[in-house]
Order: sequence, then structure tokens, then C-alpha cells
Amino acid sequence: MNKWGQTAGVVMIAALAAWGGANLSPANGPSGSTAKESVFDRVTRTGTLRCAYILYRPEIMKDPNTGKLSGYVVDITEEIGRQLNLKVEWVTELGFGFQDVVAGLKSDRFDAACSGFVETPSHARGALFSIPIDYAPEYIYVRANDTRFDQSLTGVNAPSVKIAQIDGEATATIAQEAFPLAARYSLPEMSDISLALEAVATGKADAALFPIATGKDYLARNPGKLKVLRQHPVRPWIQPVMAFEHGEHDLKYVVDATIRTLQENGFIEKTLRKYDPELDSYLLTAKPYQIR
Amino acid sequence: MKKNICPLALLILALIAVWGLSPRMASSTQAPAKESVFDRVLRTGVLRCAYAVYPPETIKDPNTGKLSGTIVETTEEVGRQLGLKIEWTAEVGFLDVFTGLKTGRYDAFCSGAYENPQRAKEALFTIPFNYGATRIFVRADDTRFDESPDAINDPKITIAHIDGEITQFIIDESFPKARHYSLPALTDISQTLESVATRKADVTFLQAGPARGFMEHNPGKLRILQKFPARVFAAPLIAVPLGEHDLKYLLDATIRTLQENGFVESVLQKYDPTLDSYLLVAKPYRKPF
Repeated sequence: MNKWGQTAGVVMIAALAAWGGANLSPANGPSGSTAKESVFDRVTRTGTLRCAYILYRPEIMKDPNTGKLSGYVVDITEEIGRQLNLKVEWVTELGFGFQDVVAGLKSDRFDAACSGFVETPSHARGALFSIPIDYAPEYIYVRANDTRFDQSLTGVNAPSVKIAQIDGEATATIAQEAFPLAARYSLPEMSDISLALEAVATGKADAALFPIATGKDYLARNPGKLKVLRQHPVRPWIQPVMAFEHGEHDLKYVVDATIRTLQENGFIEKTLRKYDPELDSYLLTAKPYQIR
Repeated sequence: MKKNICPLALLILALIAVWGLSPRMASSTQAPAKESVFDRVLRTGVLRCAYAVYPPETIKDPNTGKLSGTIVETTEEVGRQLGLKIEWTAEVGFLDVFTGLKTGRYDAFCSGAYENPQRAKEALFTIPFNYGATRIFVRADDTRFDESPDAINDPKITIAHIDGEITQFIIDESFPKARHYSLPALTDISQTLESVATRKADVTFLQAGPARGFMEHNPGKLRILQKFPARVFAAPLIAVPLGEHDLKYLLDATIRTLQENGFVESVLQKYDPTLDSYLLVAKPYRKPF
């Protein structure tokens, strides 16, 4: 055979090999398409749930010396993993900006974002959330000697009042909803919560909005500077424990079923009380049944 | 020349084989993946809603065609929260609701069709944005049912309803022996009350709110059997096609926000100040014991 014949023969064999590779491997359907493995399937197959997290006291705290994570979201997530026979890997720390959560889920950088989020319509556009593990009422923090809002929070909703907030942080959404006319003193995304409270203490802002437990540490270290208007709770935020990529309903379902078990067997209440013994920061979810 | 044609032909055949077996060729024989309603809604920024007129949930101005009502306002607010434009594209009767969802004529049915097992096989419903309390309406001078509503469950008794509307399910569930006086799907809901008032039927079931207009314009004709507890139904806001779990989730999350921030309560009270047609959804949280 001359070189044309040899060339034709090689090309023919290569074409058949390519066809065989495209159509005969087990991962492919009969049409030759490659189906992407779902996160649920991958997590089940590997036995590992890779979590991104956001530091937010007392939900997720990081020991600055050891890097070890603690907090009620960490404890609950680890227990969800134990119940489902999954190893939880805390792979990525994120800032408050929700766009990073969405991007990371879409690019498979992690399987779930495991932090106490606020479920809001705009967040729900970007990700699927688990059912709530609790509800967290928000309160206004003001300077200890500021009595303008003691009788009512109506006065907070004024352009002359400045609310300290951290860009992308959940309470900023609730502050915008409840006090849309107030001015904002904005801090960058990765700022520590204490900076927002410090801004109120030093007069850069007039008020900040946080759960009780979040501000406890600052109040303990800075006695007499701020007070919490406990008599006027702002609406509670709906707090799921995980966010998943849209479409991952099987993964959401197994996590939800586990959360329901942990609600019923008392684990969630016990864990919340470990970090907030009086439960004045968190509302437990209502029992789903009536007792007659 | 003759000696070179054969290998050249083989080469040409081989090239044709490579092109023919390539992914481009293979993929063109596959059906393109169908875009989900969720993806289309987010891409276009539009949620196309079908609706059924049912005051005070969905009210249509007969002169202008403008829509208002508890469900219209809540749906519009859901759209605003999500950055979506709500297009009220098709008026339908309760019998036709799911056909249009399946064919893609609209993305959602936004008129609060009550969820029940039969309907759950046809569509996916959002969480309830309230609960509807249904009452028993009889003629003012009719005392046959004053001791017990069980007397309604009798072949001599006729119950007025609109085809596909929730009353039909109450009849099938609780009063299977009674006869039906059926009105076509797009009939105004007040015609069920008119049917009882004019003796075409003996009883109908309706919420106090939708009945208010008729009762005010026809005083003394009908009364509510107040003694008996109303049948309560969970009232989802929107129905979406089966399989559209991402879309349902998005709407559910928004409804939860509107329940928590007081919007739903304020809208319900706007149309029903004493809230005797609507029960608010229970708070999902509690204080510890």
C-alpha cells in the first residue's frame, strides 16, 4: 500500500477510536453526551461535604492561633455530617458578599456554604437554602447616653440618623427594609462586626443593627459605651444553616431531613444554649404538631 | 492514475467518517436541552401569570381591565422583591389552570388555587401566604341545617359551585351524597350565592370576603351558618409547573420574607379589615419552654 493508503487507514482507525471513546464509556448516555455529576452524587460518592464559611460570632469563630473553628453553626454542621456519615471539610473562608457564595457554588469550589445566612428574596435568586435552624431577632444598638429612640424606633428612620453596617452583611438588608430613610455608615465587606459597634460608640454613626449574641463580646469589653434597645426588637431574620447551588434539591432534602431530626431530638436547642444560655438571641423554630 | 484512486477514496471516506462521528454532528441529532421556566424567568426578568377573577383576591375593573386584590398586590410585591416584572397574561377558569402551565402558555398561575392531593399531581404550589376560612351560606329562612351541617349530605340537597373551584372539593370530600348545581368555570363567584338565593341550589360554600359584595347588595336573602366551624384551606399564592423546584423555592423564600416583614398582613387587612375570611400563617418560631 502506498502512503495515501496508509494515511487513509490511520485516519480511519483514529476516527473509529474517537467514536468508541465518545460512545462506549460508562459515564455517557446513548447520545454520547457527558452528564455532569450532581453535587449530591459527588458528596454521597466521596463521603465528604466541602463547606465554605463566613466568620460571624458566635455562629462561626476562628481561633487566631490554631485556626480551629467553633460556634453553633460549626457544631450543628458537624453533627449533620455525623448523622449523614459525611466528613465535613471547612475548605474556604469567605467575606459577607453573597456574590462570592454564588460564584463558589457554581464553580464547584465548595459543595455548600455552611454559615448562618439570612434567607432573603435576593439571596434566594442566587442559591438554595436549607430550612432554618432558628430565627434571630435584630436589635438596635445605640450610645448609652442616647435616649432619642428609647420610646420608639420611628425616629431611626430619618436621614439625620446614620446606621453603621458592613457591606453585604445580612443585617444591612434588614436595616434597609426597616429604616430605608436613614443614612448609612458603610464598612468594607471583610470588616469585623465590632467596627460597626465602635463606629456607634465613637459617634461616626448613631445606631447599628445586630442580634444580641453578636454584640455581647463588644459590650463586655467596652462596658457603658453602648446599650441595646431590647424593648423594640426589629423583625427576626430567617436563618438557614446551609446554601446550595440551585437544582441541588436532593442535597437540600437530606440536609433538611437531618435538621428536622436535630430539632426534634433537642440537639439544636442544646447547641444554641451552649453559646447563648438565656436564648435571648435566638428563637427556636415552632413545633410542627399540636398536642391536644 | 487507477493505482492512486483507491487510497485517495479511502482518505476521503476516512475524513467523512471523522466529521460524521464528531461531537458537533452527534449533538445536532440530540434534542437541545429545554430551558427551565426558572432559567427563562431569571433570564427575561418576567414572570408571566395566568389569573382567575375571584374577589377580593383577584379583582378586575370591568371598565379598565386593571387588576387588584390581595393576591395581585402580593404577587406584584414578590416580583418587586425579586426584580421581576409580573405580566398578567391570561385569564383562566379554575378548570383550565394546569393546562397552560404544562404547555408553557404562562409560567405560573397567580390566583391562589388551593392545594389538594389531586391538584398536587398537576402542579407545584408555593407555601401558603394565608389560610382561607370557608363558610356555609343558606337562605335566610332555611333552618334545615341549623342543628348540624350533616343534613347537607343528602341527595335531596343541592350545592352550588363553580367547576374546578374549591367548593367542588368540599362537596366531594364532606357531602358526597348531595347533588351539584354546577356553574361554568369562568362564572362570577357571586352567582353561586345568587343560585342559593333564587332556589336553584340550597347551599354553597364561600369565604366571607368574596361574599361581602353580594351580601351587602342583597340584605336579608342569605345568612352564614355561624355555629359551625369553617373549613380551613391552606392558600398558596402561586402554582408553577411540576419539576420547577428552583422556581418554587425562589417564590417561597420571598413569601416568607413578606410574612415576616408584615406585608402580607397589611394587604389582607386592606381588603378584609377584620380578617374574618383569612387566617394569618402561624409564626414559625417560638420561645423555649
